[in-house]
Amino acid sequence: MRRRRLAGFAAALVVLACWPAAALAAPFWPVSGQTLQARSISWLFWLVMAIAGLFLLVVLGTLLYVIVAFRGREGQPDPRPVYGHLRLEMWWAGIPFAILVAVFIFTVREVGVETAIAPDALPITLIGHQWWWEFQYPGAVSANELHVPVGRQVRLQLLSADVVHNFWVPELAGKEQMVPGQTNLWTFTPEQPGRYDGACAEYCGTQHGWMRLTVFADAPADFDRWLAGQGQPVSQQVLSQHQDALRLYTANACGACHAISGVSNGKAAPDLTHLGSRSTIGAGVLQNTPDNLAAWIQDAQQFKPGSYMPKFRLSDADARQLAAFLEDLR
Amino acid sequence: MASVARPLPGYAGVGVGPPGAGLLTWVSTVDHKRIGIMYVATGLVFFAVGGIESLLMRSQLAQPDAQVLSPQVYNQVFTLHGVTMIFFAVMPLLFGLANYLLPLMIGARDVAFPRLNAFSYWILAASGLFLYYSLLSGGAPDVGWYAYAPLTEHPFSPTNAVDFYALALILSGAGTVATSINFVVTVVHHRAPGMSYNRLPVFVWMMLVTSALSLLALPTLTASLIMLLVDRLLSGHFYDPLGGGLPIMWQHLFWIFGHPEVYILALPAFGFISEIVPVFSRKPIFGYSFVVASGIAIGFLSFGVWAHHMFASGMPIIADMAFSASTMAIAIPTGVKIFTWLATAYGGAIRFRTPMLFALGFIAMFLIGGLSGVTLAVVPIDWQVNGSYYLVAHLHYVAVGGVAFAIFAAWYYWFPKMSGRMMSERWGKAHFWLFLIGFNLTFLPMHLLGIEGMPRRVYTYPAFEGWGDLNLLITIGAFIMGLAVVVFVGNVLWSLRFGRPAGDNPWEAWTLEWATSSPPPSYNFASIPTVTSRRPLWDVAHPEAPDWEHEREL
Ligand code: HEC
Ligand SMILES: [Cu+2]
Repeated sequence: MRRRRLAGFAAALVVLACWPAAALAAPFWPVSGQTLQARSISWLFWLVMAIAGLFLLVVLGTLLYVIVAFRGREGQPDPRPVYGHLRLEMWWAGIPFAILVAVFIFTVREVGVETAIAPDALPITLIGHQWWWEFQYPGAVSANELHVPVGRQVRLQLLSADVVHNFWVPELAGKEQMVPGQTNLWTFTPEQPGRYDGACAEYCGTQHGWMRLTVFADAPADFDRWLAGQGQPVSQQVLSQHQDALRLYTANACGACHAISGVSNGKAAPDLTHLGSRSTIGAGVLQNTPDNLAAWIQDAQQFKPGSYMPKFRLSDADARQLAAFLEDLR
Repeated sequence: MASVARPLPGYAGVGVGPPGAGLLTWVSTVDHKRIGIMYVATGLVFFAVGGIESLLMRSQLAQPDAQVLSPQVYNQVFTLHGVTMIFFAVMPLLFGLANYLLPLMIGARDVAFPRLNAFSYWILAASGLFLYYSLLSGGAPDVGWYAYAPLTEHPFSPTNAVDFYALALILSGAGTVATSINFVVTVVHHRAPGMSYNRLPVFVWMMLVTSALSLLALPTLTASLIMLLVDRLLSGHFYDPLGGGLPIMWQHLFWIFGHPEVYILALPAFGFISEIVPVFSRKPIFGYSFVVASGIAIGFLSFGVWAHHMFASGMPIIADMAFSASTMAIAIPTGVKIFTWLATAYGGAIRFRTPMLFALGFIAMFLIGGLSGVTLAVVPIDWQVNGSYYLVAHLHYVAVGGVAFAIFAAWYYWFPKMSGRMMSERWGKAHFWLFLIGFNLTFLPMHLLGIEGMPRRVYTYPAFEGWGDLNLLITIGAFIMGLAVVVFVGNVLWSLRFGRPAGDNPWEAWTLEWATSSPPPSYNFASIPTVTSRRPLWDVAHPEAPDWEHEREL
């Protein structure tokens, strides 16, 4: 009997230990925001976690106490019935009510902080596509890698070209849906230069899993340089260097889906005008290296099955030639 | 033992089981008990299927960049898992148990409309099979259980899979509505003499509220699904932005059904716990009126919280705030229930039999799910963690830690009544501990993954995010849960043949179903009992201190 009780307690301990063990097994501070908005979320998060945690401890503690203290003995007569206690019941409805009113007040306050948009915020339009991202800046278009300047608030207009997507970069701010036929607004103010990973957070079909994105927060000067570069068309020099690749590009109708400024203006797929300046391809599925790019052009389905980039019957040499051309688009 | 509650003299049947055992007698039955058993068996089969689907998912997610399932298959599996568990496992288990118990608990001979009851069951079973038939006709639905438009529209889902989804839910909804009508009329019209509303067992009250919710919520689902079918099959534009439709309308309509649905699952579970905790604590439920009133309050409030699923959908801030407040408000009656169960056990003489273990497990696990629910009502926190594994964790603490634990508690508690035999305690306890440990290993770490940024419904995730270890832990936990369910099913099969005979009232309980034989005869009670209080069998055992003297106490 004793043994069994010990085993029970051991099992209970294992269960309780899961939580801290899991916490230790992984770095646990992603909402320790890199932006004003994320810090506001983070602050509220820990406040509410603390309240909820305290509540959890008190109630679980009571439960454990009850379990230990009121264990029935064999043959024990039924205890005296207690049918209720109005005053007590009022209290335990009233105390949670008071706590929740306080939490609600903080909620309203922080929502105000997180949604305020300054008039000089940098407007960027984000368009979700099945399974990649399009970014429209004043004067430039890009895909899958969002560059933002440090120290300036951005004002994101979220749109969708097909189904519902959801823009989420955990370290920068919460998330917001991209709903077709509707424009949603979202904002954050990057403070630390760096690279932040994000993903689509609303199931949007086959390759939802690989609809990822990267945000680069650049120093203002770097950002201006980057933006000016993205606005440039492809130079004549690059075009004349890659005549053969251009022929392949046309012969395979890449331009029906893709845009390269001055070459083609397809709208169904990521703009390739500056593909060489991106660090990943396929919304994060591959590193952008010449070999990966060639393999992707030959058979994107191998890396991102179900995506709308078709498989092409290209010889290795042709694929490498195309890849070399695209890598030169910086 | 002075406290043994004996059956009401003369009300037990003459000890006959259900007449006849041939297959035909089952197929043609209109007996609420047999229909209940068929419901429960069907629910258990679908529970196993949904469980296997979850293990498939966990195999794929155990490590980054795994290739156990293709994305196409993974997406079908997670959709099937959600639809199966909610509509074809948990609903039939709950409604089946209610079917069995509700007439017995109010001293009735059957439900009000026995044939309608048979219709409800058969259409539910048929719609479940119909959903799975999609597998043979080009693939299962792969749009998630809440199937956001316009992904479900023809251009994005060109196969018939979504039509199967819509039709299966429309059909099963018809069955649920019919059952709900049946329950309401039964409770209103077929209570035994003396069984006033003030004396209804809490479980019956909760089923009354659940039925009302179903009657109001399921037609919304049916209507939105019909609009979806019009879009898909007749080129309509309800949810198609290019034709002037509104994708966001689907979200509203779905959750106007979907949130009450959460309580359609939770309220019966609350009812089970409110029956079981008193019996094993040997005390009456603490604050009966509060418990019932909080259930009714939850019922009303559940229609005013739907848009908390949509804080990130671009609603005006003022709407976010309103739904945040209503969601926090619904936490209060829910909290009241938890306190009530604790107060019931407090000062008791607790008997730690398997049903009670699951009931206590329910309280602890549901508490965690409820608290994470409150964190999600805080709009900015929701903006951060909704659509992530945090949400998967939250919903499973409610649906498994809450509802499934309660179903197991109910199963162990009423199995002796339904079969005439006790379940094995030893295997029951093994089941409990394995399930508790497996459950927490599975779902606690998911909170962390969500906070770290892992979105839900992804078929894989990149290695550089460092989510592999936690995911492996989760997969191990899921398989431990699977093992627990195998132990459970083994226990059921073993106990059906070899279990100790139960007798009429093995738990010394107080409600009317324990006054008749186990299993009860087809007519339930030899003569209809007259009810004198909330605990009729207590009054019989304690004529010196009957319960009705305390009926005015809250
Ligand atoms: C039917 C339309 C279509 C055609 C034709 C097409 N692509 Fe694509 N391509 C896509 C889509 C859609 C994507 C985005 C895939 C994703 O990430 O899900 C894509 C992605 C790419 C990418 C990665 C872009 C990035 O930013 O990650 C490259 C490079 C690319 N395609 C090159 C080509 C080349 C070269 C050709 C011609 C041989 C070609 N594509 C033809 C549709 C097309
Ligand atoms: Cu998406």
